[in-house]
This record gives sequence, structure tokens and C-alpha cells, in this order.
Amino acid sequence: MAGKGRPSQKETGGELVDPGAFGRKRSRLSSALESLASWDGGFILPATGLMILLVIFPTLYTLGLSFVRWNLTEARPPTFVGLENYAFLVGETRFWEALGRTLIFTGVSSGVTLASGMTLALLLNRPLPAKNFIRTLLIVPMVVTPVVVGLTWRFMYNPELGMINFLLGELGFETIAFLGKIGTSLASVMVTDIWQYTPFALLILLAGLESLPTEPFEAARIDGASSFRMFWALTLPMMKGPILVATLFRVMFSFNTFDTIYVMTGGGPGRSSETLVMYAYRLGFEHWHMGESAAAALIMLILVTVFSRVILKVARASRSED
Amino acid sequence: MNRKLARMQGVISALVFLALMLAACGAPATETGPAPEASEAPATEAPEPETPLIRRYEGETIRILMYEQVPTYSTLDRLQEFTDATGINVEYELLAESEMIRKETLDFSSHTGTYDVTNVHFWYIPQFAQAGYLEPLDDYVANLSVPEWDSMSDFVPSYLDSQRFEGGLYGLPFQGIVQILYYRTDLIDQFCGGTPPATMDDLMTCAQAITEGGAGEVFGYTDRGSADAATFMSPAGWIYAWGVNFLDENYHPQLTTPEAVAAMTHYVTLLYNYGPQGQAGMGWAEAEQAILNGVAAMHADTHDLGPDMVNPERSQFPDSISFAMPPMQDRYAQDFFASGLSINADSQHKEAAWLFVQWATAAATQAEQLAERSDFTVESILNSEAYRSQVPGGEVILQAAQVADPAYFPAIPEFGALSDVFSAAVSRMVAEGPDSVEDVMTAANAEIEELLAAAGYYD
Repeated sequence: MAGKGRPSQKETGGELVDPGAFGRKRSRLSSALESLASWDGGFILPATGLMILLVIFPTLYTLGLSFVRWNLTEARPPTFVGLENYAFLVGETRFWEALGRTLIFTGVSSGVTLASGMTLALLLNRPLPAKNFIRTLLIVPMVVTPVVVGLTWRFMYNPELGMINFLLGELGFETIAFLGKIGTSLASVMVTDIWQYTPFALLILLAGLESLPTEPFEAARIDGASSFRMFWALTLPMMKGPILVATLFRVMFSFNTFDTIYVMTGGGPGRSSETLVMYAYRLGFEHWHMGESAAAALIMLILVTVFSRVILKVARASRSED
Repeated sequence: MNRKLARMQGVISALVFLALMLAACGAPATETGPAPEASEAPATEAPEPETPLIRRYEGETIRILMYEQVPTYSTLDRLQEFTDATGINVEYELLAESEMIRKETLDFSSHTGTYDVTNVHFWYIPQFAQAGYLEPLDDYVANLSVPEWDSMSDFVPSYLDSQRFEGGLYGLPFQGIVQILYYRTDLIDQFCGGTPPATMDDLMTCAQAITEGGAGEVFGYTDRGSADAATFMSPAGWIYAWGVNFLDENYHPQLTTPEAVAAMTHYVTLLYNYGPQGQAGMGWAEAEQAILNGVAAMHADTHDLGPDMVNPERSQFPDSISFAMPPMQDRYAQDFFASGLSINADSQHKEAAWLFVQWATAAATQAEQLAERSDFTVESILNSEAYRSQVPGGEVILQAAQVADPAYFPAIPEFGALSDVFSAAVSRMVAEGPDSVEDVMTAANAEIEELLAAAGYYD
């Protein structure tokens, strides 16, 4: 067996060249490619690679980082500290305040976005002149970069030069420094967030409304049901799926909103609009405490994951009920 | 089944290999030891003695990271002069300021040595030098100076000092800015007797008079009040004016001292009572905008805003904004800023990088940019008649530079954390008014004390 298949060799310029080597390599390569192509799961490899590169690796890296003390202000190498970073966060009032603001921001922003998205979807789900044009116009806020949205709204809120205060002045109201007051800064950012993401909810909910069967509504109409009754008893239950999907995405987006807050208020005045993601950013890139920042990011990931699981569970339960 | 299993094993092996490769690329280096020996001793590795120093590193390529701003563009526009003189190729990357800071910090800390030269703001010098990220430059100054680019004796002392940490030099000053007072001459004439305020008391009196006379349209004074890190400088400079440094010699914050409380009461009163609405949300850009638009009559800030003040395309009052020394109490208020060029300790081209740093900060190179910028770092330019006549505010900038003191800044590696705490406190005080000063300063003092204790400065 030892000599079986051994290639012939010839001497050229003092070097031994295997004339069959290239062909054999090619045939090995092509057979490997063929076997990969014939493997049912081969087509998922590129996506898996990207997933590992862009999602799994950074997540695992962040997880690892959350267990070390790695302050870029120190000459010390990272050292394992177990759960110390998590304990630090739990003991920080600032962390809990930021978490509270995040929950308020997420709850209000997601709730109002869904309500306004549903209202607009119901309006657009009926014969309207220039319906497509209106729909396109309504989608515009969603495609603008959050930083640009933040800068635009920041200018609009400006007490001296902004459009909002100009309109308030024209209506006889006093000028308000929306972003310069502790009581109004977070709410002002929420309004911006709602403006930007209402079109997103609108798109999902409108698609859902357009796919609803017409027969139940016709039957209800014949039975003399009011519009509100039809909305409450038919539209809402049948729209449970799209509403849950829109809720899931909105909660995830709102929970992680950074650009808009960073640009509009920087978390201020004081810390009145500092959310968890802003706090994690500051720990990482102002305090340079990478371990604590990673721990804060991981806590956010856990919270969003738990919430997503709850939504998915509700979705599954409602599907099995149907 | 076996073939299928083997294929699966192959795929899993490939994925594990990929993951390991990625981990190897991204994992932080755990050592902050000295740079490779090959480039450790710049003076001892001179190749051929007959090769002039300026051509000694011909053919090398260096990578630099800087941030997008006028001085950077002005310097890079002349890059060919450097390449022609030295034969060194320069590849550069320009980013927004905050992004550059994040990128250089991550590059330093991961020891990848991607960039040979970077812009380093003076407040990061202690952090980066202590962590071993920056190459000490003293040996280079002593042994590798190109005479025509040697400006060591010409640098403004405060700018050069800002590049030092524990006696070592870690950068050469590329850009230097000091605080001056911008004021509207017409309003000062109308409400303040025609003379810009020289003292803090004068400033308050004048700001009050303008605000009361301005009938809600014009306000006396504006400054930084938002919660972002850049806000730190003005109020910290105010505290300095009252004769107290932010940290004492044992690194204890001084925010509860009567002087610091008085300084911040003054600062907050100015903004809360005599500043435009929404001061607590206004950073340096909005404050500048307020005086450009005629909403505010006075504004103390960095001197590089001067060209905007007299530019008819930016300012509504280009002919009536003038310049004066910053107000003083026991000392002049400060808003000193300097950004230097430093060499990455992990660079593989340190000598070539040094030549670039020396060229880019040289008086001769800066002199070519007189018509383009105002933030020069050498006295020969600041003292020149051309500077005084061409640069808006030129006549007071040198005077302000001579009283500038980087010591108003807590130059310690934990500066970023201090800035986060203090800027948020300032923003809150400005939002709530002067009555809140004592409580907020006490809380900020305690928070900073806790941060520095955790960093090991004291128990």
C-alpha cells in the first residue's frame, strides 16, 4: 500500500517537481467543493460566518469583558473579577435611575408609536385620493439617519430660533426651553423618537390590515355593528400577530436608542435624560471602564431578551388559541 | 452516515478555526511593555553616517490619525512638502473628533500599532502616557531634531507644558487655544459705559444691564451649560479664577470650598438670570451661535471662534464684535485647550513618525498657514505683526496665552470620569438656578471623591 498511487517525479533544474501535484490539488479542491455543494446545509455557511463575525463573537467578547476589570486609564492588563462589575452596577443609584428612564422611554415611546401607527394605518386602509403619495410621504422620517433627525429636532426645539417655539409664540404661548429643562428633556426626545418610528409601526400594521379577510367585516356590517365595535371585536383580535411583531421591534429599538439622545441632550440637563445605553457609553468611553460598560450592555441584552421571549410566548399562545 | 459525520466535523472545525482567528485579532493585548527593540533607541540606530537625518528614513510609510478641523486640513494640504523633503510617505485617516478619540484609544489599548502618529488632546496625555501608549519624545528632541523644524524654544510654554507627564514629553503642540472675551461693542457702549468688563463683578453688572435693557430679545452673557464633556472647561476655568484648582495636591476635589461655590454661584447666576433660555442644553456650539445671532452680548470662549465672529456669512454683527482678555477674579478665567501630535509606542516607524511630528508642528510649517487658522503654538507667530493684523483678536491672543495655565485642568488619567460627573452637575445647576449650587456641588464632590478613591488615589 505504501507506494500505491505515488506520483512519478522528474528532476528539473535541481528541484524535484511533482507533475501530478497541481492536478491532484485541483481535484481535491473540486471534490471538496462538490461535496460542500451536495451537503444540504452548505448554503447557510456564508450567513453562519457573518453571524459568527458580527453577532456571536462580539456578544461572547462582551460577555468575557464583563467579568474583567479593564480600565483604559490604568497600565494594568485586564484581570478577572468575576461578578464584581455587575455588583458595582447594582449598587449604583445612577444605574437604577438610568434603568427607570429607559423603561419610561421605552414604554411611552413604543406605546404611543403603536397607537399612532395603528391610527394612521386605519386611515390609510380605506380609499383615499393620492394614497400612495401620502404613504410614501409618511415613511420619510423612518429613512432619515437618527443623528440627522436628532440635530433637526434639536434645532426645532431651540427657544430663540426653533420652529416649535415660533409657532408657540404665534399662538400666544410663552417660549419653552424644551431640551434645557429637567422636566421636559426626556419627553422632548420621546416625541422625536415617536415621530421617527411611527412610520415603521404604520408599515407593519397597514400590511396586516390589508391582509385581513373582508367577510367577517361584511357580516358584521350587515348585522349593524358600529365601526368601533368592529374595530374592537374584529380588527384588534385579528391584528394580534402584526401588533406583537411591531411591539417587539419597537421595544428593541427604543430600549437601545442612543444617537438621538446623544445628539439632542447628551443625557442632560444634569442626567435627566440619561438612559441605560447612554450610561453604558459613558462608562466605556468617558470613564474608560470597559468591564463595567460591558456588564451594563449585557444587562440590557438580558432585559431585551426576556421581554422578547415574553412577546413571543404571548404570540404563540394566541396562535394556539386561534 | 460516517461521511456525513465527517463533513459535519469539517464544517465545525472550520467554524471553530474562524472563531479562534477572530478572537486572536480582537483580543486585547494584556501587556503594556516597551515597544519592539528595533525602534526603541532612535539615536543609536543611525544607518549610514553620510545620510542626512532628513533623508534617513526615505521610503518608509507612516499612518496618521487626526480629526477633522481647519488646522488639520491646512497641514495636510502641505503634506507633499514633507514627503519631498524626507522621502517618507504618509497615509492619513481623518475622523470626527469624538470618533477619533475612541479609535485611537482602542488602537493604543489593543497594541495593534495601526497608527504611527495621532492627535492627542492635552487632557489625555496623563492617561495615555501612564498606560504606556505614547512614545516618550525627549530622546528624539535631543538626538533626532531636524534643525529647520526644531521649534522647541519657540513653543508657547503653556502649550508645550501641556504635553508633559511626570517630567516626560509625550507630544509636540499642534494646536493651542486660549480663552478670550467676545463682546458686542454697540451693546457695551449702550449699557456698560463703553469698556468691556475686566473683572467678574464687572461682567455680572454689565450682563445684568444688557439683559434688563434687552427686553427679552438680547441677553447679557452666554456660555456652556449642557451635560456633555466639553462643558467641563468653562466652569472649571471659572473656579480657577477664584483661586482654587479643581483638585488639590492630594487629588481631593475642591468643589465644596467657599471659593468654588462662589465661582459656580457666579457662573450659574450669569447663565440662569442673564443668559438666553435653555442654557442648560447649550454646549459651546449653541453658545457661539447665540452671540453670532445677536441673542447674547458677551461670551468667553476659545479664541479660535474669532474668525466666525467677524465673518459676515456666519455673524449678524461682524463689524461690532470685538475681543478682550477673559474676566478675572483672583486670576484670569481659563478655557485653555491644546492638542498635540504624539507617537504610538507600538509604532514600527517611530523615527519617521517623529520627523512628521516635528515638521507638522514646526514654526516654518505653521507660518505658511497664517491666512487659514489662528491656533498657532509658537510665539514667533503669535508675536508677529502679521498675526496681530490678520487674525481676529490677534492683539489679545498672545496676552491671553501668556496667562494661560493648563493647571486649571485636572490632568490625571481619570479626567474623563471627572468631566462626566462635573459637566452633568453644571448642567443641573444651570437648569435649576443658583440656589441649587451648594447641594449639587456637594454631591458632585462626593461622587468624584468616590471615583478617585476607587482608582487608588486614596482610601
